Amino acid sequence: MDAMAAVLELKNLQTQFATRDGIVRAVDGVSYAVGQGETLGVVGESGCGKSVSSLSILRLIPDPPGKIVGGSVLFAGEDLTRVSEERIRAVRGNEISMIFQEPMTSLNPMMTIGKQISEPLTRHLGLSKKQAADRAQEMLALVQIPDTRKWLSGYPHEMSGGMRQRVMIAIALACDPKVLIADEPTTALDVTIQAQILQLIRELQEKMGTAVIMVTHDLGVIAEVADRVVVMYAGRKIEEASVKKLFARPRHPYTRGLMTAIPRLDKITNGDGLSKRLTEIPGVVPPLYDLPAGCAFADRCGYATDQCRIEKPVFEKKSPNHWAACWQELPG
Amino acid sequence: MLTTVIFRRLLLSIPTILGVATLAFVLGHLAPGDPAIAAMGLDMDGYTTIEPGELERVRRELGLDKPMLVQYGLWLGKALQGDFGRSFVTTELVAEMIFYALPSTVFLLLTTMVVASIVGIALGIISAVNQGKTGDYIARMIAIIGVSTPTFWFALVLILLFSFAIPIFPMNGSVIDHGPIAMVLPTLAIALHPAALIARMMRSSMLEVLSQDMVRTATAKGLSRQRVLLVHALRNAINPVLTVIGFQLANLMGGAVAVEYIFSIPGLGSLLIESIYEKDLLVMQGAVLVVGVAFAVTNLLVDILYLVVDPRIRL
Repeated sequence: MDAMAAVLELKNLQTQFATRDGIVRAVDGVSYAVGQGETLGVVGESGCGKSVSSLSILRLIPDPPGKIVGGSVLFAGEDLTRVSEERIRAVRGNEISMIFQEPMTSLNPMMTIGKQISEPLTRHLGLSKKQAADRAQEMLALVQIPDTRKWLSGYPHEMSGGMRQRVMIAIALACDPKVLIADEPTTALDVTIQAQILQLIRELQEKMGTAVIMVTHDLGVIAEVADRVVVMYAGRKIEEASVKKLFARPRHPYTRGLMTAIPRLDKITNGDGLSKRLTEIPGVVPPLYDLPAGCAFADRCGYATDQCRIEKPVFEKKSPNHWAACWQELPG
Repeated sequence: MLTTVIFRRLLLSIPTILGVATLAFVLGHLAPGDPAIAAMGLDMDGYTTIEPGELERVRRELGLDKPMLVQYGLWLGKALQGDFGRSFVTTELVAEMIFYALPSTVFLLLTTMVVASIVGIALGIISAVNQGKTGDYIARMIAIIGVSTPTFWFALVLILLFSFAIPIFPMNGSVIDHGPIAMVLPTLAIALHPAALIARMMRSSMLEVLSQDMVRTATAKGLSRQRVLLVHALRNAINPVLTVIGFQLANLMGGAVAVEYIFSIPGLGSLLIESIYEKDLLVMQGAVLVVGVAFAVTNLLVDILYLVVDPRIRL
């Protein structure tokens, strides 16, 4: 991210978990930034540290066992990893808010929808109960929930998963935040609802100028919504590019593997009518408490050389607006 | 909506109360000893000195000569109208005896339950929030001691310590003689056990809720720690605790019987124990019936409380 002024910037962030097997370096020196009105996609497979990095921004990592041990999260001239508890609470749900993967369990089943949307409004903006309820109703309309009056006094269990995720979005956007972190917001939803929710997030972002960090394992989602993409592997950032450049020519073998692993309807047969096997990346992610000295992907990589196994690759510019952490120059 | 549910639940408790009445009657008649002999002011050793016709006459007078089913029908019919008959021993109205004994017991149990609930819930929350830390260990230690200490023994220890060695509280637990201060030791004695059980349930239920996504959402909204814990988490964790409170309130009757006796509180427990000693059949049956009904009503109240607390439950 060169030209645009960053609203939120992670610098060399390190988050670790103490486990029986040792220290798990879930996020190991990750940097990324997001500008106003921009959508940054953070992609990677389960356990690559993408969720932990996003939870670390608002210090939502359960401590113990988790801990932010280094780096910084810069927001409006402050390092959020160092501000007081009181200050971070004032940022949460107000200037930076978050929606999560599981809409079914992320809302409080004992509290009315209206009350749950009102909470951040009374807490951060100092609205009265009446004002907050009115604004909550507006928010419900904004996330396209019909019959807003009725739903204000409704409960989450009366709603479908898609509607609940809409409510989560309403809660997150109630205070008009500068940054919205969406941690796998569509993973638990079925495909048609996924498209609707992504569409909604994009529309609201345009309307409100919010910066969005979209954390997902789904490259399809990235292609749909992101302007820029950060690819993570084993707790590190391994590639960063504009979405066009990334899909046009991935520079890291892992990203390349991810893309060839997407099944394509037009390529599922060999031409002889027999179906092809789905492509996969061989091997598994090394355990995060026992990472190799060199590139963490080397053991699964078809391009790996001795240098890859000994020396950690440098995260370097490969072309304008395109960086990757790989010793090899992949064929185009 | 809520009222229909409550009404339906009330109807359902009718068979329960009938069952309790039957049990009270059967238990009364299964108890060893002959109520007629007791009514004549004699113990079993005096049996041989009674004139043969005399015993029959007393039996007839008390209605004990009729077939068991007839006795049951007569007793139940009257009991349901609030007429429990007259004591064989004192000839007082049983309903009146119970009426005078009841307030002491109800007062004792309610104060106990309030104290036990507050202490138990607080301990449980402290424990859960500080899981694995010192606060948790101390709270759990208190809970273990509380669960394993017998009520009657704890009552005696309290008397020994706080009215004998250090005379702060009266030994006699009668409010009429000493005022409210007399309630302190009996309340503490009975509250220990339920407080410990409530604390344990609160801890485990709270721990479960604290790991839920919902708590993370509440935190991510920027709410204060207190609000996350006491508004969001507690309300979700309280249901199993309410169950324990309900059961304990009912079970407390057992502990109260012993403690009332130890502290000479003229309550239902004392009345029940005396009636058993004296083979005072109708008093015994009446007291058991009232305790049973109280049990059923408590459970009913707990069920209604669920409905109020959890919007997802609509029976």
